[in-house]
Amino acid sequence: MEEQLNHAPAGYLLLSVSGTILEMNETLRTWLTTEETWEDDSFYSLLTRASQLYAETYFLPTLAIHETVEELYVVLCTKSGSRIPVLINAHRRKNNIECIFVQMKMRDYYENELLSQKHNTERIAEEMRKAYEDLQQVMEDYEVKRKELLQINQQLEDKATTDPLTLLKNRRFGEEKMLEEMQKGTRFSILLVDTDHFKQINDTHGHQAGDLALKQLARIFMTTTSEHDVVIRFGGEEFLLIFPTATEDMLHNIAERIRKQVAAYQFHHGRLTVSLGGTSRRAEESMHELLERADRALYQAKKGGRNQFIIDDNKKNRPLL
Amino acid sequence: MKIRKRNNVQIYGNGTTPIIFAHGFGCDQQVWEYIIPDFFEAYQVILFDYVGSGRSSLEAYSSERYNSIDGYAEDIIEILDELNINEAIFVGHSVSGMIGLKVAIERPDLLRTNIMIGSSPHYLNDGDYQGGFENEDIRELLAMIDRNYQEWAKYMAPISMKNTDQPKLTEELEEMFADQNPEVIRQFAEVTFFLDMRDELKRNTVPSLLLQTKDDTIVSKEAGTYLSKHLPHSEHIEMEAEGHNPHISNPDEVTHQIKEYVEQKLWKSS
Repeated sequence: MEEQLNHAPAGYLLLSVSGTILEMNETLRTWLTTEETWEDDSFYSLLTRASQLYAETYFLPTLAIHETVEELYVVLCTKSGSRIPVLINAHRRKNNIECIFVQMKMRDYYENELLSQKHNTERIAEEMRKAYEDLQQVMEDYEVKRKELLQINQQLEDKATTDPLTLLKNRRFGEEKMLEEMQKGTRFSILLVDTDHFKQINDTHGHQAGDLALKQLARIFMTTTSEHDVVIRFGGEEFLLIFPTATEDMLHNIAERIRKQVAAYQFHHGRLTVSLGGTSRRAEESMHELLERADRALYQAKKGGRNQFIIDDNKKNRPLL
Repeated sequence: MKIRKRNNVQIYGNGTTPIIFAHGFGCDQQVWEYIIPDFFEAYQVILFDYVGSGRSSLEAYSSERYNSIDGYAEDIIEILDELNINEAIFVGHSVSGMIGLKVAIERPDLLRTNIMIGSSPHYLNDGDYQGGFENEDIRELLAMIDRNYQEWAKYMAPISMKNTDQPKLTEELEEMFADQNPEVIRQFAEVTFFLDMRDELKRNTVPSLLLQTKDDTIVSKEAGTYLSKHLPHSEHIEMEAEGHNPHISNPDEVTHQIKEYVEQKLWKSS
């Protein structure tokens, strides 16, 4: 071997195509801290176990196919067991393989740093992706639970504000509705409707007939009012109808229509009439006062012979809204 | 996706006897270039790249399917079914010998014989069994793949480009292959080197030939002996060739052994 190549500042190795060591320069020998020639040994005997694997699956096949390999990273293993990371450039020439080795101890340190940073970053990215997925799942679960809760609440709410016999809204709901209208400041009208001689139906035909009559009444009220109006079973055989948009004048027509429908209806047990008292809310009037005036009108309708409508339009006290 | 495109299936030769060559970990069908010309006259030669290797369609890769050799065996089954081939002669290098075994167990109708070159049922040392490697050796290999994968990817660039007059084209192709996900190579390495087929060997019913070399740094002496001892219907030949890639270093001997086995033994016995 030429003097210059023998002592060049890089390792030089000549291999047969099957990887047997033919020649090695002094520089490489010094790195490997050996006086031995290594000749006739396999190239793999210079490498760590992992590098052997790598060289066998990559290095020699690549040379066979592409005839050249550049910047291959492997780790040499000296006979004393220490490790030397190197980069190899190799090519096939004249049916042999020529390799140049450059040590990269410092580069190895930097690259290890970089790789470990890269792995860290990948790990963190993976953890974040996972955490994000978990969070998505939690939010989905929460949304499902929230909807379930809303549904249950709605069911409870319906139960708490519904009269189980007639399936009309109950008194509590009616009071809330009136308060709501009062807060909005709208002028609204109400009708109190009482079933005439209801006790007689119960006494003569039994409670079942009475219950049935109440259900049939409820249906008449529902069909003779609009969807914005609210029909309430106010208690016993008494109903409250709330008309958010009706004026006192309109109330008369509505009440008469209801009265006539009821009187004309063939109930299960026979005939039935209702008495009605109605009014419109006045400015500053409390719910209690409003109901009292309607109740007074109803009382007068009863007293006047039943099956009639009386409106409380007494304007003496307070002006209309 | 068409399987022929997915696995870059190439068919050569004028014969009718199908012979399919399966590359090992870290390479592609180009490794068979020194072997196949001798089979063109009398055989139908089928080459392919596993999904994730060579010029296969990378978008067909899924880390679920290819997290064990089952996914790779599935590639072969699908290729042979697609080509309507059964009773093929299968030649598998390294881990592909075990992938072929998996096919032989799942679909014995597809293979007439399984010829394994430098295959090991298990690479790790495990108690009395000396597969040749410690866990940390494999970990170190995976770390090396991380560092070198761009170089590795270049190696997968098409062979026809090596003496090209258009260096720009080669460069572009190298870049294209460098885009291949290092995770794919890494996962194939894990599947390969953590493979343990020792308990599966007894299920084999397909006649098998084990071609082993002297001084294979990847397949320990003991792994080779274990395989020939425990694989039913197998015979074992120790070749003159050395190293893990006899089909590259000694293609003539490998060709001769395959033909001798198929034409002198297999055909005469049937």
